[in-house]
Amino acid sequence: MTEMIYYILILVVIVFTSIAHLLLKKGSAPEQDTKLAMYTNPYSLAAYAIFAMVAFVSIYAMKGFDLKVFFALNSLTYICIPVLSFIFLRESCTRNKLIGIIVISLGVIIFNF
Amino acid sequence: MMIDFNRVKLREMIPATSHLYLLIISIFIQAFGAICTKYAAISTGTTMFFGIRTEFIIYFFILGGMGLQVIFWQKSLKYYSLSFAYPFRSLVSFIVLIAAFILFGESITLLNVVGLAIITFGIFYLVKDKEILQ
Repeated sequence: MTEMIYYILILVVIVFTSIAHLLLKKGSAPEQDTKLAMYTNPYSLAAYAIFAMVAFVSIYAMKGFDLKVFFALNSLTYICIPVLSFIFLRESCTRNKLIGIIVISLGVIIFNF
Repeated sequence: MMIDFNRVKLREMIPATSHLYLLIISIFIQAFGAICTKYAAISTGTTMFFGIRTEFIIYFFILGGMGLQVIFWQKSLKYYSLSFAYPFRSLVSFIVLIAAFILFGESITLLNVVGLAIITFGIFYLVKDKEILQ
Protein backbone atom coordinates (compact mmCIF):
# COMPACT_ATOMS: atom_id res chain seq x y z
CA MET A 1 0.00 0.00 0.00
CA THR A 2 2.80 2.43 0.88
CA GLU A 3 4.42 1.67 -2.48
CA MET A 4 1.21 2.81 -4.16
CA ILE A 5 1.70 6.29 -2.68
CA TYR A 6 5.06 6.67 -4.45
CA TYR A 7 3.49 5.73 -7.78
CA ILE A 8 0.77 8.33 -7.20
CA LEU A 9 3.47 10.90 -6.34
CA ILE A 10 5.40 10.23 -9.56
CA LEU A 11 2.15 10.45 -11.51
CA VAL A 12 1.61 13.87 -9.93
CA VAL A 13 5.17 14.85 -10.94
CA ILE A 14 4.64 13.76 -14.57
CA VAL A 15 1.20 15.33 -14.98
CA PHE A 16 2.14 18.64 -13.36
CA THR A 17 5.49 18.91 -15.20
CA SER A 18 3.54 18.53 -18.44
CA ILE A 19 0.96 21.14 -17.42
CA ALA A 20 3.74 23.56 -16.41
CA HIS A 21 5.45 23.23 -19.81
CA LEU A 22 2.14 23.81 -21.62
CA LEU A 23 1.57 26.95 -19.52
CA LEU A 24 5.14 28.10 -20.23
CA LYS A 25 4.54 27.68 -23.96
CA LYS A 26 1.33 29.72 -23.68
CA GLY A 27 3.20 32.37 -21.70
CA SER A 28 5.94 32.59 -24.34
CA ALA A 29 3.67 33.76 -27.16
CA PRO A 30 5.61 36.01 -29.59
CA GLU A 31 3.21 38.98 -29.60
CA GLN A 32 3.76 40.67 -26.23
CA ASP A 33 4.09 44.33 -25.21
CA THR A 34 7.44 44.29 -23.43
CA LYS A 35 10.41 41.93 -23.34
CA LEU A 36 9.74 41.24 -19.67
CA ALA A 37 6.07 40.40 -20.28
CA MET A 38 7.10 36.91 -21.40
CA TYR A 39 8.31 36.13 -17.86
CA THR A 40 5.73 38.03 -15.80
CA ASN A 41 2.42 37.04 -17.40
CA PRO A 42 0.01 34.83 -15.38
CA TYR A 43 0.75 31.71 -17.51
CA SER A 44 4.51 31.87 -16.89
CA LEU A 45 4.12 32.73 -13.20
CA ALA A 46 1.73 29.78 -12.72
CA ALA A 47 4.25 27.52 -14.49
CA TYR A 48 7.07 28.66 -12.15
CA ALA A 49 4.87 27.96 -9.11
CA ILE A 50 4.05 24.47 -10.43
CA PHE A 51 7.76 23.77 -11.07
CA ALA A 52 8.55 24.68 -7.45
CA MET A 53 5.75 22.38 -6.23
CA VAL A 54 6.98 19.56 -8.52
CA ALA A 55 10.51 19.94 -7.12
CA PHE A 56 9.21 19.32 -3.57
CA VAL A 57 7.00 16.39 -4.59
CA SER A 58 9.98 14.89 -6.52
CA ILE A 59 12.07 14.77 -3.35
CA TYR A 60 9.36 12.69 -1.62
CA ALA A 61 8.80 10.52 -4.69
CA MET A 62 12.56 9.81 -4.93
CA LYS A 63 12.41 8.24 -1.45
CA GLY A 64 10.42 5.38 -2.95
CA PHE A 65 12.42 4.83 -6.12
CA ASP A 66 16.03 4.40 -7.20
CA LEU A 67 17.27 7.50 -8.96
CA LYS A 68 17.52 5.77 -12.32
CA VAL A 69 14.01 4.29 -12.05
CA PHE A 70 12.72 7.74 -11.12
CA PHE A 71 14.30 9.24 -14.25
CA ALA A 72 13.12 6.37 -16.44
CA LEU A 73 9.52 6.85 -15.27
CA ASN A 74 9.95 10.60 -15.59
CA SER A 75 10.79 10.16 -19.28
CA LEU A 76 7.07 9.49 -19.81
CA THR A 77 6.94 13.29 -20.09
CA TYR A 78 8.56 12.90 -23.53
CA ILE A 79 5.34 11.25 -24.70
CA CYS A 80 2.92 13.12 -22.44
CA ILE A 81 4.01 16.68 -23.37
CA PRO A 82 3.88 16.32 -27.20
CA VAL A 83 0.50 14.53 -26.98
CA LEU A 84 -0.93 17.26 -24.74
CA SER A 85 0.44 19.97 -27.04
CA PHE A 86 -1.22 18.28 -30.04
CA ILE A 87 -4.54 18.32 -28.15
CA PHE A 88 -4.50 21.60 -26.21
CA LEU A 89 -2.12 23.84 -28.18
CA ARG A 90 -3.34 22.51 -31.53
CA GLU A 91 0.24 21.94 -32.71
CA SER A 92 0.54 20.04 -35.96
CA CYS A 93 0.97 16.30 -35.56
CA THR A 94 3.08 15.28 -38.57
CA ARG A 95 4.48 11.89 -39.48
CA ASN A 96 8.12 12.99 -38.95
CA LYS A 97 7.27 14.45 -35.54
CA LEU A 98 5.47 11.28 -34.45
CA ILE A 99 8.33 9.02 -35.56
CA GLY A 100 10.86 11.35 -33.88
CA ILE A 101 8.95 11.41 -30.56
CA ILE A 102 8.47 7.62 -30.47
CA VAL A 103 12.13 6.96 -31.35
CA ILE A 104 13.39 9.49 -28.75
CA SER A 105 11.15 8.02 -26.01
CA LEU A 106 12.49 4.57 -26.84
CA GLY A 107 16.07 5.89 -26.70
CA VAL A 108 15.49 7.60 -23.33
CA ILE A 109 14.05 4.38 -21.84
CA ILE A 110 17.00 2.29 -23.13
CA PHE A 111 19.46 4.95 -21.91
CA ASN A 112 17.99 4.80 -18.38
CA PHE A 113 18.04 1.01 -17.98
CA MET B 1 21.65 18.88 -60.58
CA MET B 2 22.22 17.13 -57.30
CA ILE B 3 24.02 20.16 -55.80
CA ASP B 4 21.21 22.52 -56.81
CA PHE B 5 18.68 20.27 -55.13
CA ASN B 6 20.69 20.25 -51.91
CA ARG B 7 21.05 24.02 -51.94
CA VAL B 8 17.29 24.49 -52.19
CA LYS B 9 16.76 22.06 -49.33
CA LEU B 10 19.29 23.91 -47.16
CA ARG B 11 17.63 27.27 -47.87
CA GLU B 12 14.28 25.81 -46.87
CA MET B 13 15.73 24.57 -43.60
CA ILE B 14 17.41 27.85 -42.53
CA PRO B 15 14.35 29.61 -41.08
CA ALA B 16 13.54 26.51 -39.05
CA THR B 17 17.04 26.15 -37.62
CA SER B 18 18.09 29.80 -37.17
CA HIS B 19 16.95 29.97 -33.53
CA LEU B 20 18.20 26.52 -32.63
CA TYR B 21 21.12 28.08 -30.73
CA LEU B 22 18.64 29.23 -28.04
CA LEU B 23 17.55 25.63 -27.45
CA ILE B 24 21.15 24.40 -27.43
CA ILE B 25 22.23 27.06 -24.89
CA SER B 26 19.25 26.10 -22.71
CA ILE B 27 20.30 22.44 -22.89
CA PHE B 28 23.90 23.27 -21.89
CA ILE B 29 22.69 25.32 -18.89
CA GLN B 30 20.40 22.47 -17.84
CA ALA B 31 23.33 20.05 -17.98
CA PHE B 32 25.43 22.53 -15.96
CA GLY B 33 22.64 22.59 -13.33
CA ALA B 34 22.54 18.79 -13.19
CA ILE B 35 26.33 18.65 -12.69
CA CYS B 36 26.14 21.27 -9.91
CA THR B 37 23.33 19.29 -8.22
CA LYS B 38 25.53 16.20 -8.24
CA TYR B 39 28.40 18.25 -6.76
CA ALA B 40 26.01 19.46 -4.04
CA ALA B 41 24.91 15.87 -3.35
CA ILE B 42 28.47 14.57 -2.86
CA SER B 43 29.79 17.65 -1.08
CA THR B 44 30.99 16.91 2.46
CA GLY B 45 30.25 20.38 3.76
CA THR B 46 33.74 20.93 5.15
CA THR B 47 35.45 22.79 2.30
CA MET B 48 35.55 26.57 2.22
CA PHE B 49 36.10 29.04 -0.62
CA PHE B 50 37.13 32.59 0.44
CA GLY B 51 35.46 32.03 3.80
CA ILE B 52 32.15 30.79 2.31
CA ARG B 53 31.08 27.14 2.49
CA THR B 54 31.39 25.68 -1.02
CA GLU B 55 27.87 24.19 -0.76
CA PHE B 56 26.34 27.67 -0.66
CA ILE B 57 28.32 28.65 -3.75
CA ILE B 58 27.03 25.52 -5.52
CA TYR B 59 23.42 26.28 -4.46
CA PHE B 60 23.89 29.77 -5.88
CA PHE B 61 25.06 28.27 -9.20
CA ILE B 62 22.11 25.83 -9.25
CA LEU B 63 19.57 28.62 -8.67
CA GLY B 64 21.30 30.94 -11.14
CA GLY B 65 21.39 28.12 -13.69
CA MET B 66 17.65 27.49 -13.22
CA GLY B 67 16.90 31.17 -13.80
CA LEU B 68 19.12 31.42 -16.89
CA GLN B 69 17.74 28.16 -18.24
CA VAL B 70 14.13 29.41 -17.98
CA ILE B 71 15.08 32.57 -19.90
CA PHE B 72 16.60 30.65 -22.83
CA TRP B 73 13.95 27.92 -22.73
CA GLN B 74 11.12 30.46 -22.96
CA LYS B 75 12.93 32.38 -25.71
CA SER B 76 13.12 29.16 -27.74
CA LEU B 77 9.47 28.31 -26.99
CA LYS B 78 8.65 31.65 -28.61
CA TYR B 79 9.84 30.23 -31.94
CA TYR B 80 9.43 26.47 -31.71
CA SER B 81 6.43 24.27 -31.04
CA LEU B 82 6.49 22.49 -27.69
CA SER B 83 6.10 19.09 -29.38
CA PHE B 84 9.47 19.77 -31.11
CA ALA B 85 11.39 21.62 -28.38
CA TYR B 86 10.68 19.26 -25.47
CA PRO B 87 11.87 16.01 -27.12
CA PHE B 88 14.90 17.95 -28.42
CA ARG B 89 15.86 18.57 -24.78
CA SER B 90 16.68 14.88 -24.35
CA LEU B 91 20.11 15.79 -25.81
CA VAL B 92 20.95 16.87 -22.26
CA SER B 93 21.60 13.18 -21.48
CA PHE B 94 24.47 13.31 -23.97
CA ILE B 95 26.26 16.15 -22.15
CA VAL B 96 25.52 14.74 -18.70
CA LEU B 97 26.85 11.30 -19.71
CA ILE B 98 30.19 12.74 -20.88
CA ALA B 99 30.43 15.10 -17.87
CA ALA B 100 29.63 12.26 -15.44
CA PHE B 101 32.37 10.18 -17.02
CA ILE B 102 35.03 12.94 -16.95
CA LEU B 103 34.17 14.70 -13.67
CA PHE B 104 32.78 11.93 -11.47
CA GLY B 105 34.33 8.82 -13.02
CA GLU B 106 30.91 7.26 -13.61
CA SER B 107 30.80 4.35 -16.03
CA ILE B 108 29.32 4.52 -19.52
CA THR B 109 27.34 1.35 -20.25
CA LEU B 110 26.53 -0.16 -23.62
CA LEU B 111 22.83 0.62 -23.03
CA ASN B 112 23.73 4.31 -22.50
CA VAL B 113 25.50 4.45 -25.86
CA VAL B 114 22.72 2.54 -27.69
CA GLY B 115 20.06 4.75 -26.05
CA LEU B 116 21.89 7.94 -27.06
CA ALA B 117 22.34 6.72 -30.64
CA ILE B 118 18.57 6.08 -30.84
CA ILE B 119 17.80 9.51 -29.29
CA THR B 120 20.07 11.23 -31.85
CA PHE B 121 18.37 9.32 -34.66
CA GLY B 122 14.96 10.48 -33.35
CA ILE B 123 16.13 14.10 -33.18
CA PHE B 124 17.18 13.92 -36.85
CA TYR B 125 13.58 13.00 -37.63
CA LEU B 126 12.27 15.91 -35.56
CA VAL B 127 14.58 18.50 -37.16
CA LYS B 128 13.64 17.24 -40.64
CA ASP B 129 10.06 18.32 -39.96
CA LYS B 130 9.00 21.60 -41.57
CA GLU B 131 6.33 22.28 -38.94
CA ILE B 132 8.64 22.80 -35.99
CA LEU B 133 8.12 26.57 -35.99
CA GLN B 134 4.93 27.65 -34.24
